[in-house]
Amino acid sequence: MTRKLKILITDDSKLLRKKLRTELEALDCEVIEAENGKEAVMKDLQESPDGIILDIVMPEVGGIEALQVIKEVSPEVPVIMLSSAGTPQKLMETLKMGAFDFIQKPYTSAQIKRAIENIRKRVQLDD
Amino acid sequence: MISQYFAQYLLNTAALQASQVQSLLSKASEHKAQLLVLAMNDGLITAKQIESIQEKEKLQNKTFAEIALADGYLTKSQLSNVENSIINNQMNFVQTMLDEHIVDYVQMEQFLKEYSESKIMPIDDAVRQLAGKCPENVESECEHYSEYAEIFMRSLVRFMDTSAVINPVAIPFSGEKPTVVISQRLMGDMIMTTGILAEEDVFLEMARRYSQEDIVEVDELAIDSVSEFLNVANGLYVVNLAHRHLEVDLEPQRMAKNVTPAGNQQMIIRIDTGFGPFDLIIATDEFLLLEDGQGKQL
Repeated sequence: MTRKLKILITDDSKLLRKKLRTELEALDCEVIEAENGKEAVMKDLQESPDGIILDIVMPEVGGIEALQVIKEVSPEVPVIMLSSAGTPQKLMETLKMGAFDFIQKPYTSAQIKRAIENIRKRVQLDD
Repeated sequence: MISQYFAQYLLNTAALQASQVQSLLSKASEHKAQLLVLAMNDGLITAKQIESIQEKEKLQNKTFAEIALADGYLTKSQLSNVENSIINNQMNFVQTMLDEHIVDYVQMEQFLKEYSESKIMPIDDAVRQLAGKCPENVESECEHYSEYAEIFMRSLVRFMDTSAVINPVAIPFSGEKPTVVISQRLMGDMIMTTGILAEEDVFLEMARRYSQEDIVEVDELAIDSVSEFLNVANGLYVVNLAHRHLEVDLEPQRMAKNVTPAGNQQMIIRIDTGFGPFDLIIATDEFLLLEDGQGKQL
């Protein structure tokens, strides 16, 4: 039996967190939330999630800075960037920094499902 | 033939008045495009043929489709294609014009013909017309503003399921009702700030349509919803710029209530939708200057 994946959602939008939580819970994930990059780094350390979904444009500490820190402290955690500004440069920049995937907003349920399946495969390999 | 900008074309060419378009947009959701409008849109049937079929409909106990088939105006395969065609908001708008007797089939056919032959881009045309009346000199920015407005209008149709037009003769909101403004700055190879200003009832409807949540007051969820819509529209614009090797980042959105935007080279574009009017604001710098208690960065 596969265990539940623990996924950390990081987005300053309450609406986005609510929508994503519904999507992820339907995919049998345990969900934790952060409102900005700083909180994401703290929750990553405290909760050791199996995967992180990280928005880029956020107040205080944005997604790019948070990705940098997360990759230093927990390099093995897959981080999926979720952003409206999905330019080729942003995509390359974040992938080079160690992001696992990049999803452009508005996302589709299929994109989220695929991303979670990929995290599950990665976690199963690590286990 | 009918694209999402048909109503804008009719407005730009003065075929319809802004008040007429506003009224038609608000009624369009109650008028579903009928077979004959769809067939005319596909160029399968002419206005004269429609009138002939309608005359027979009055005398015979037969439907439009049965007469069109019997008289050889449509083949079974054409009829099946028309029946299965996807109905968009603009087709419902056309149906509303006919149902409200704003035009008859002959006039509609003529409008559709002129529209399909027109080389002018309706949104670009509307923005340039507005720019000419703008108190600020926005000529140098007109190309960017027009390109942005086009993407914004497409986003409105896609994410809020409404027809929308740029109103060239709108007067500013009176200030009697509370208003909400959301702005977002784009920084990089070009600098621009865009935003949405709406009276609370329209703001709420935008929030409901984008989020598909039952939102009843201007709370965090409502603000997040409209902010996210703006963010997504801006993201699409930024990706568009990236194709031209212009790298631009988005900053976190700002929100304020009951303030007047004050940006440089600011253009206020009134947009009429099926659920009411709001302003799209575009400027070359941040137009939402937040003082104590006025608003916040989101």
